[in-house]
Amino acid sequence: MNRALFSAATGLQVQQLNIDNISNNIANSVTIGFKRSRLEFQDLLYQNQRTPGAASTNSTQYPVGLQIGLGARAVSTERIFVQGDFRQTENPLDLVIEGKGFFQVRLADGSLAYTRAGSLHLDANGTVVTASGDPIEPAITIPPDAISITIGTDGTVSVTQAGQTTAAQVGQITLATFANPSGLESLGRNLFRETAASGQAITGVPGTNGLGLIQQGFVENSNVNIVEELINMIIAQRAYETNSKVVSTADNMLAIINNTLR
Amino acid sequence: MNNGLYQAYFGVRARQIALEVMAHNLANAASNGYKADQSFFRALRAEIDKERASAKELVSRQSIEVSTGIDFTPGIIRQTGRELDLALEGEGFLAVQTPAGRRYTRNGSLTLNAAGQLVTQEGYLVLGLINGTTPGPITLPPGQIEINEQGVISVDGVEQARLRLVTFSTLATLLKEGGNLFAQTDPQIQEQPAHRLRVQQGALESSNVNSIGEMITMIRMAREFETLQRAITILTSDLGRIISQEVGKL
Repeated sequence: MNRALFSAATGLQVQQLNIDNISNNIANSVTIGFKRSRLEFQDLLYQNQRTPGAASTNSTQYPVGLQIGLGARAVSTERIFVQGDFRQTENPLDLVIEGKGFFQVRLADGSLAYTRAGSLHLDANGTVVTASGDPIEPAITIPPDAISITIGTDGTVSVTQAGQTTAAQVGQITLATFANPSGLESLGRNLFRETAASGQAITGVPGTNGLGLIQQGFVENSNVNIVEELINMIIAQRAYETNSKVVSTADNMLAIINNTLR
Repeated sequence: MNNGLYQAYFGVRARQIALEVMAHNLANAASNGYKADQSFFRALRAEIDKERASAKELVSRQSIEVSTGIDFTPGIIRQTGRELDLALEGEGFLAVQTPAGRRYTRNGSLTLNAAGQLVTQEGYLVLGLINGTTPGPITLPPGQIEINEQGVISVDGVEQARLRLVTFSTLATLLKEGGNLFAQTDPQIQEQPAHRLRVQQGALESSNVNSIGEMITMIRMAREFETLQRAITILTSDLGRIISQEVGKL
């Protein structure tokens, strides 16, 4: 009887986690460059009281066994790197990656982080930085007298300065990709960090090594699909309810046992 | 001695196990590729001389054996759009290499590890045929991954490997191990290629647990449990009355 109670408790736990994850996705449904995540569930261990195929006599076998499972557990939060929609902004420093790849960002502590959110800005020194103020890597500085900034699909950054007729190249944006992007660690603020699971960053010019091309003047919306999340939320809520019914049924049965002898 | 009491106890015990199996199923209503457990009751009869035994004895020597089996009916396939989500349509499994040996799964939520190898969410290697012949783990270069219905994996249009899709002559000897993995318990039964299995990329097979059906069975089990408890109460008070009346006379 305790097994039923504990199995139902694991069911309640995983559905609670599921709702937590869905709420985070929905809360970030308008975060630029956000990638939704999904919880993955698996069945827990089994108690094998009788194995199928075990000998029932010298010449015969049990066709079926007796296996009692002990509930469910959450095994991973898988980040889904499906492309989000593009929204045109016409801001010259709004960039999207068409395909795979991440922009590289140099954090204040000197380490590298990776992001899909390409809404870039200039700081007081003319350095190209993310919305949080961290410079992108390799660092690019735009001269203060630049009239226009053009970023090619291959990441070439060129500016036209006042009094000039031809554009001058001032930098090159490179992108990074990973063998297993799902293994990246989320740092919040739309940033990801390399881990042993993601593999080493493979950097390159956009359009090479399976990296996507850059488009200027767009931002990538979050890839959260609200309708899908709401449906998942309903399913999670109902599953939670079902598991709580198991708890009350098991509890009732225990109460019945206690009433057997009066 | 009054055997009715034991019978009622066996009945209660069987329904307890059935509830435990159901609780496990309902806890896994959201586990991808999960296959529900089913519990079966079977009457066991003690070896007695049928010629000489009374009808009452025949009935009272029965007991209940509980078994479980795996329900392999397909779960609902739902679209996810993720390139390494695979739904298997038809009978068969993906072959997976775990530290404990070869295992089988229907959970196609796969990913790549740091070395670019195709693995399950727990990091177990998914097995395939490399260049159509060599069996082993599948390593994929970066790029756009496409997997066709036969399980052939291409990256940027170049064929890389083929998934090892297998089935067995009977599924009755498969044992669940947790983690959505099945183990083959009978060394006599060899894996064979699953020709009728179709792979659907960008989709996942949901758990095949039927929540409504499980809830209805759960209510039935709880009611039967209550009835048996009444039987135990009556039999116990009956026994008490007999003891006080008959034994008291002595």
